[in-house]
Amino acid sequence: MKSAVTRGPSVRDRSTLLFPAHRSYRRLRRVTPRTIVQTLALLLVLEGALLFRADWISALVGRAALALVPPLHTPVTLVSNSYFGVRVQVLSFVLPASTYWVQLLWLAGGALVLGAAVAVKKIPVPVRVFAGFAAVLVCVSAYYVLVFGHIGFDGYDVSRLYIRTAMVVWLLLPILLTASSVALPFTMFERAALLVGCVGVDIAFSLVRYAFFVWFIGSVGPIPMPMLYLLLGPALDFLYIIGIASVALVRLSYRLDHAEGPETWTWT
Amino acid sequence: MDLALKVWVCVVISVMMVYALRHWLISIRRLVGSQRPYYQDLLDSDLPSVSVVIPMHNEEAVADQILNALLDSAYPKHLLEIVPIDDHSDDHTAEILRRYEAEHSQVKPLFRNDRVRGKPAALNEALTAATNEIVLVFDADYRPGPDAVRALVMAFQDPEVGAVMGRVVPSNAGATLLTRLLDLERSGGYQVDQQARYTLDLVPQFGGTAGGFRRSVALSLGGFGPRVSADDTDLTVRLYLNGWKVAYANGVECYEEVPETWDARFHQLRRWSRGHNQVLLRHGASLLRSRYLRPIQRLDGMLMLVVYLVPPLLLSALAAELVLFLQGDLLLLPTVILAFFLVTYSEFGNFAPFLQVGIAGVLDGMAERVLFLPFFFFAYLFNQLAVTCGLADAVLDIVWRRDPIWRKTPRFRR
Repeated sequence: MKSAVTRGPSVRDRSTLLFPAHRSYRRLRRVTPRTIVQTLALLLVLEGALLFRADWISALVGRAALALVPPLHTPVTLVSNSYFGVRVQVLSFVLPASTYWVQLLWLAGGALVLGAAVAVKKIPVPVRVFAGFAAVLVCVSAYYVLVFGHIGFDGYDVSRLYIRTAMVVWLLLPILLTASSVALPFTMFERAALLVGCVGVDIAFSLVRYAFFVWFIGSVGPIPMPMLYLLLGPALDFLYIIGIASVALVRLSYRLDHAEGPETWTWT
Repeated sequence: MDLALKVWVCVVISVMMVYALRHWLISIRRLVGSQRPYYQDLLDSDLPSVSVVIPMHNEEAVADQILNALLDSAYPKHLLEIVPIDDHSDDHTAEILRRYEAEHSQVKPLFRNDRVRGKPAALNEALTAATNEIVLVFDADYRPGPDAVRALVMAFQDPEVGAVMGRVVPSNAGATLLTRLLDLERSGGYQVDQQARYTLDLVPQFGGTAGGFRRSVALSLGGFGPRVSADDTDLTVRLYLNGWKVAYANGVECYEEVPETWDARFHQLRRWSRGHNQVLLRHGASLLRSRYLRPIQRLDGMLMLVVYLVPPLLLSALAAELVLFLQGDLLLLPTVILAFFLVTYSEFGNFAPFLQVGIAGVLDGMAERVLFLPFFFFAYLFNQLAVTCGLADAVLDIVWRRDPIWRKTPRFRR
């Protein structure tokens, strides 16, 4: 015997609703335990794949980055290194010696950009703030090198720090995205596309950025390292991940507002 | 020294984690949890007399619009008193108010030319001039809908409600990139954050406009402090400390003009930060000990007050990271966690609350406007700077014992 099931109004019923759920108080239906279990299973599979294939991913990223790095004044080699039991492939290179004049030049350049960020009113304020922030990091770094002679990291150290950071971000990213999207009514295919797409794009962009990072530091010396590591890297990560997430939200929003079938929204 | 820096970074990360968790819970709760209906949905009764106060300083461009909107209100004319306050205007605002006074008996303007300028001082004067117990406040650039007054007044049928707040929606959202971002930010702040706080019986905030309060209560609490830049937050906290509640009406949408230039936005944020931090210093300890609030409400109240301390904290943690980096003593884990929570804070955080904004976009059916989300990153650093300057102002106010000078956000109406 068929059990009685409470369902939302049909498409035909919707047209007769006197008071459709107003945006102020409407909400979505609660996530079902099944969806939560499926989402967690998806997360576990992805995390498992990332963990169990970490050696392979690291080797792939290391080799691809090595192939992308343009020639430097010293050779760039791939060095194997262990990190929490994972064999990480790190690009090793020698930082060019930074002379007194080069340090002064960075300091002056940073100060010039900072001055321009403060004075040139025609540039939009957020861009000026971003440039000013980057210039402050460069100035502090140049001043430190000028006073103490060197930064605490050599080429290999900073390269290792970069790739380890990237690997931890690859592992944390799916958790963050799952937490953000678990209550949203994505299909399992969309969830998988969002998670795999973001991690895939992050891995691809990380290796391009890694190659650029090694080439740039290997060419101009260590002074811009803090700016790249503490500002530009996180900014780029942030921009494209939020970009992908916002596209997914737009698709979802359209689907919810143009859905056929039972009323999507619940009221109070 | 190094150990102290590492400990400091960990402290900041802990604060980020609390905010991240709070924003995540609030967002999910608003998206799928049952909503608390507003009073209008439940009750109707004889309407009380109400005074609507409109502080104005050089508002000739918008004065007609707000006065006409209120005169066209669905509220019974004989129960409505409109009190526009001309606060040291040197344009044609006073003439406009005199014209309305002559044509409409319910318009009773106040003219202030020889006393301290500023919204708190103007409101204090209006409190003594207004004749009704329920006082609503609208800024001059607001456009309340015909039902707004009635809907806001409904909340005061609850004897525990001391103030009510409506939803603010930008009217010039399409003007610039900044207004687009502020539209998203307001949407996240009201549709998700305020509504969830109201539903969960936490501490929704009275925003000083598009809302109202009981006149006798405001007077008994000493009115509005002229030395506080955030008179609305100050009143909110004092209401809670004295056992009153603040209601939030998500369905009462009032249109306002948001800043169209980054300079104007910078000064607005700086003022808010200054005022918020002043209130934190004045009432933070009392809020934590309040006998009228449950522990969860005290926590929410403190998170509301501390929020303008977070950007300076983040900047200080970044400075500590920079020193550790230069010394080659950067622990990988804190670095990653900080970077992670920088993103997380941006995702869940207050000034660019991505999850909240995204969910608000879905609930509001904003669709393609959500595509502007990544641009929040640029506003994020900008906000950090403006809020940090505001904190510095608040500290200098104490050190130099100076009074804040009220600086109105410029109008952009063409």
